[in-house]
Order: sequence, then C-alpha cells, then structure tokens
Amino acid sequence: MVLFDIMYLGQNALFANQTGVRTTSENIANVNTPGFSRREAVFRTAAASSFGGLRLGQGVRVETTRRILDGALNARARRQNSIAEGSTARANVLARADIAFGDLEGGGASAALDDFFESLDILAASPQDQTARTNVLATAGRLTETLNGYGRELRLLREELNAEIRAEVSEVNRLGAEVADLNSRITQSAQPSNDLLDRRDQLIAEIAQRSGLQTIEQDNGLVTVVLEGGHTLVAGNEVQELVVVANGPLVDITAGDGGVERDLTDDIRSGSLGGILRARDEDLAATQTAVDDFVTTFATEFNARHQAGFGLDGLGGRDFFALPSPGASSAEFLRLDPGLSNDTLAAASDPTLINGDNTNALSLAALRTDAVVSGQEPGDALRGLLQDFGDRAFSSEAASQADGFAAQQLTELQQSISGVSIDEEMANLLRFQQSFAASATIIRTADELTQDIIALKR
Amino acid sequence: MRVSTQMQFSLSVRTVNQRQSELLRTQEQIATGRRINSFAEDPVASRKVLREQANLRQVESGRRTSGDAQLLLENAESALIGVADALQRAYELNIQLANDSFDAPQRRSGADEIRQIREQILSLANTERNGRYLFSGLGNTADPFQLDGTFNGDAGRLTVPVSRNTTVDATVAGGEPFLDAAGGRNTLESLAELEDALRANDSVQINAMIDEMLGTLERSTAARQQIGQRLQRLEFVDDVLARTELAANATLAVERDTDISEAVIRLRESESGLQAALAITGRLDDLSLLNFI
Repeated sequence: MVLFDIMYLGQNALFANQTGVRTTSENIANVNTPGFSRREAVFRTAAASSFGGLRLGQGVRVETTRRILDGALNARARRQNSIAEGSTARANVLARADIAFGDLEGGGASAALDDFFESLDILAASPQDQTARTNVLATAGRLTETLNGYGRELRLLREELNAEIRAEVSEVNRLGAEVADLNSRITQSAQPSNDLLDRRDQLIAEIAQRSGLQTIEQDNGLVTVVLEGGHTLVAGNEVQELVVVANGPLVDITAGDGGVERDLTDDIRSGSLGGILRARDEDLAATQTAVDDFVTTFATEFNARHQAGFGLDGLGGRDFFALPSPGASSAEFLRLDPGLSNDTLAAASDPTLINGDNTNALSLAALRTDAVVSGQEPGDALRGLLQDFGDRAFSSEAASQADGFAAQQLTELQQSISGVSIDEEMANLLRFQQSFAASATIIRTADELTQDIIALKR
Repeated sequence: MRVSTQMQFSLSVRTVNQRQSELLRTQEQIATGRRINSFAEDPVASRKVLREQANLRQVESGRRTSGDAQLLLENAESALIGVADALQRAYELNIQLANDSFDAPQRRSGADEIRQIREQILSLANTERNGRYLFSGLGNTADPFQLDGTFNGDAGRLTVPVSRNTTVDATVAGGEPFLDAAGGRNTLESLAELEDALRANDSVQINAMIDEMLGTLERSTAARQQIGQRLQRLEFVDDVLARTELAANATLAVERDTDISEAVIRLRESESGLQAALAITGRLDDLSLLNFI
C-alpha cells in the first residue's frame, strides 16, 4: 500500500530532520566548550523497495552523527601547543629570576662592585685614615651580601619549582588515568560515542600542554600515549604513572616502563613541565655556575693580592674573603674573612711603613681594571654573566611569543574546521525546521489521501 | 576560510589584550623615563647601561681621590713657599754676615735668627694634613725631621689612583725638598752648621756656607716646581674625568632613557589600535544572523 508507505517515508523524514535540529542544537549548546568538534548528522537515502514493478525510494535514513575534524591537523596543533606551553613556562620562570638580578638602578652586584672599588681607591688615597678602612669593610660586606643574595635566589628559584613539577606530574598522571579509562569505555561501545572521543582528545591535548607526546591509534579505537623521550604513559586501559623522586634539594621525574625504571628529567623538553625543567636545568643552572665561577675567581685573586700586603699590625699573608669549602655555592656562602678588621686590612706592601704605605691598596684597587676573571675586568665579567642571563630571559620571551603565535594559528585552522559557527548553525536550524515542517506536511497529505479513500466507502 | 564563532571572539580578545599590553608598556616607559627596566627587556643595552654606570662611579671616585691629592699637593706647595722665604732670608744673612766688618756679637745675634729659621723650617718640614706628614715618604709614624736634621722618613711617595689606569703622585719623595741628592748635609744640618759658624765667629766657615745655603734654596724651589707640575696634571685629569662623565651620560641617555616624543607617538598608535579593536568587538554582535531572523 503506497499510501502507508508515504506516511512511513514522512515519518523517516520527520525523524531525520529532528535529528538535524537536535545535532544543530547540540552544536549551538557547545559553541564555547573547549575541545568540542562540531557534529554533522549524516543522511543517506533509505533502501528502495518495489511497488508494482517500480523501485521507489524509502526516503531518508540517519546513518550516524559524525565529528568533523582533521586528525593530522589536530596532532600538529597539539605538538605546536606543547612547544608553546614549554616556551611560556620557561619564560615565566626566567621572568621571576629577572626580577632578582635585572636591577639597572644601582641595587645590583655591578653597583656593589663599583662601591667596593671606589672604597679601595679612597683607601689608596688615604691609607692612614681609619674611616677609609672602615668604608672598605662596609662596601665589601655589601658586595658579599649582594652576591649571597644572587646565589640564594638562584637556588631558591630552582628549588621552588619542585612544587610546580609535582603538581604538573600529578596532573599528567590524573589525565593519563582518565584517558586509560576512556580507552576501555570507547572499546566497549559498538557505536563510538562522539562525546567520549571528544573528551579523550581534549584530555590528550591537556597532557600535551604539560609534556610533548605522540599518540598511536589502534584499529579497535584504543589510543596509546607516548611521552617525549619514549615513556608510554597510557597503553590500552593501563596508565604507567610518572614518579617524582628527590635528587638532593631538587626533584627528578622517573617512570617504571615495563619494570625498567628510567629517568625522564632530561627527556621532557616541551609542554609546561618541559619548560620548567629546561629553565631549571639549563638556564638557571648555567647562570648559577657562572655566578659561582665569577665569585671564586674574583675572591681568590683578591685574596692573593691581599695576602701580599701587611696590616696595621705589621703582619701579612692573610685572606680578605672566606670562600666556602668546595661543593657549596661560592656565591651564596662567600663571607669576609672572620679575622678581617681595620688593623688586618693590608694596605701596605712594606711591613716597616705600615701606617702610611698604600702600595698594596693600589694593587687591590687596580683589580678593577685588570683582566683577571676569564680574561675580563671583574666588572665586565659580572655584567657579561648578567647579560648572558638576560639573553636567555629575552630569547625565552621572544620564543614564547613566536611559538604561541604559531600554536594560535594552528588552533585557528583547527577551529576553522571543527569549531561551531553560530551563523552556520542558525542557517542549518532554519533549513531543518523548514524540512521538518515539510515532512509533517507529507504525513498530513498522506493522512488526507487515506481519509479520501476511506470516504469512498460511505 | 570557514570562520567559527569562537575564532571571531578569541581574535578580538587577543587583539585587545595585545594592544592593552603595548599601551601599558609605553605608559610605563613614559612615566618612569626609562626605556628599559631590566636585563630581560634588552640584554645588550642593559649591559651597556651598567658599564656606563660603572664609568660614572669611577669618575666620582676619581674626583674624590684627585681632590685628596690636590689638598696634599697644595699644602706641600704652600709649606715650600714658606721654606723658600725662610731660606732666602738665611741666605741673605749669610752673605751679609760673611763681611768681616761684622763683629762677634753681631754674628751671634745673626746666629739667633738662624736658630729661629731652623725651627720654622723644622715645623714646615713636619707639616701634617689629613693625618699625613707631607714630607715623610710612605711611612707616616713620627715627625720625619728633628731640629738637628735627623731624618726618620723614607724615600717613598704616595701615589693615588685618579681615573682608569691613571695614578698621580700626591706627595714628593720623602724629605726630597730638604735632602741633598749628593749625600751632603740636608737643609736643617746646613742651617745648624751656619748657626754654629756664626756663633763661633768663624769667618772662613761662614764664607764657605754661602754656596751650600744657595743649594738648599734651589732644592726647595725645584721641589715646588715639581709640585706645581703635579697640580697641573690633576687639572688635566679633571678634564679627562669630565669628558668621561659626558660620554657616559650620553650613552645612558641613548640606551636607557625613553625618547619621549617617540614614546608619545607610540602611545597614540597603541591607543587608536585599542580603540579599533574594541570597536570591532562591539560590532561582532551586529553581524550575527540572529539579528536578521
């Protein structure tokens, strides 16, 4: 009976267009949801059936609703996002350090060194003057304190990252566990749920913000997540968690990979975790070494010159600075020699002329322009290492902007494919609404035709 | 390219953020007068800034030490003027009293005057400034001279750093204006000898002293000229310091300070950029299909 068939066809159309409205509504509702890929109801013509030798179509079927996305583009955007997050995290850490040493207005070690050398010039001009001696000790005290501050700040900046590393690692573990859970739920359902797939993609993107990674998608729908450096974080419904272990005052990241413990600290170099590790183990570590080396060389040279002279008590061979024992940071633990006083400050070279001789003070003051620290004047060497640090902070900020821009562009490209456009959805809504109304008309028409036939009987 | 709703808004938000941060940075530069405030903003310029600040500090300490040196030299100069006046008087007395027309009592009173001159010169030779004997050499413990001419000082001189790699002598070598380079009697010993000869009415010895007294006068004058040259050198050092200061300040102005007129123009640009970004964000609302159905 063709008439009933028309009604059936109308019903199919009604259902299909309802699904269209439903899908459109879902898209509109999720316009601001991160990680949501817009959906599209996939229509196809229903299989034809025979009526009196005719092959007539059965209308429309909704095959599925599919997510609209470009997997390769997503992977690429995710990779670039890892890089951008890494650059930003590194730049943020270095910006904190910049506040500690970037002083250009006279509060830094360069200014303290200038003060110290000025006090030595004054001592050389008036070696007999007790206030000149007191002044040398005072400026030397300020110089050591400023250098101690640099050493301490660099150590603390690195140690303070422990908490951030722990937080990021536990977040990676949590996200990994959720991906593993979704993996098992996705393989259980026959028809892949778009929501679960979206959610899993979003979780993987969030892991990627913390560490660079690669995904391997299997035929059964499982996704394996492999972190930078080769550690498999998620395999099937199993997560192999990262572990934070103490390494002296700092922390390292390890993971048990199939029973083999491996250190990932030097492997993770992108994502916010990678950025933090890079800032800690490359930038700040290099600056720390440079500051320590500077202090060691400078204090050793100064001590050698000081030992050659004689104090007001006629004795010589004494140190001016006290360097810590090897292994400790010379910047953080540099002190003035505990025995140092106005009387032991060695301005004289001739032990018989101790009260008026300034020859050794001249040699101490001349250190200002002697190229004794890696072939440079001490002030230039100090400013050089500050500049090296500044270069790192500056380039990390520039990289953060450039990488962020590239990531933004890829995200936009991704959005251009998968993002919801309200205008488009409104147009679709109108289209489905009209088609729905037309489908309803089909049913009414079929009904009227049926009524007409029933009326024949009266 | 297909444009999603999020793209439109995120672009607006990003542009507005970017413009606002430009605006804030420019505002900060104008308000503080500093183009750069930390190493990370411009590492190369920051290093130059610290380098020039170090140069300025060196100029400052050079001014201070050269001031100290100048004080010592000027005091030595005025002491030597007094010494020369006194020795001139001794020389004149010597020539006058060598004439045999003077008898023993007259020569004795001449001897008394020489005695006073000895004491006057002793006090000048032991002059102290800023806790430092001007003519004692490097050692500075006790009066360098005694009335009988005994010299306790040494031959050193105080050398003072005044600018980059430059030092200036702030004193003459210890005892130099009074000691005989040839190893003969020093000024105070010569005066003692003259006094003895006058008191003894020894015409031969009085006559013999004339050349020696002229020699002491010449020694003090030569030392004074040396000091004059050092004071001149200090003036030259002051010029060098002033030039260094000028150059350092000029570099600082270029590297560190905000070019206000350029910054104000930039401020205008950022302002209108921000206005445009805000205006576009407001328009987005009008451009939706929702307004037409």
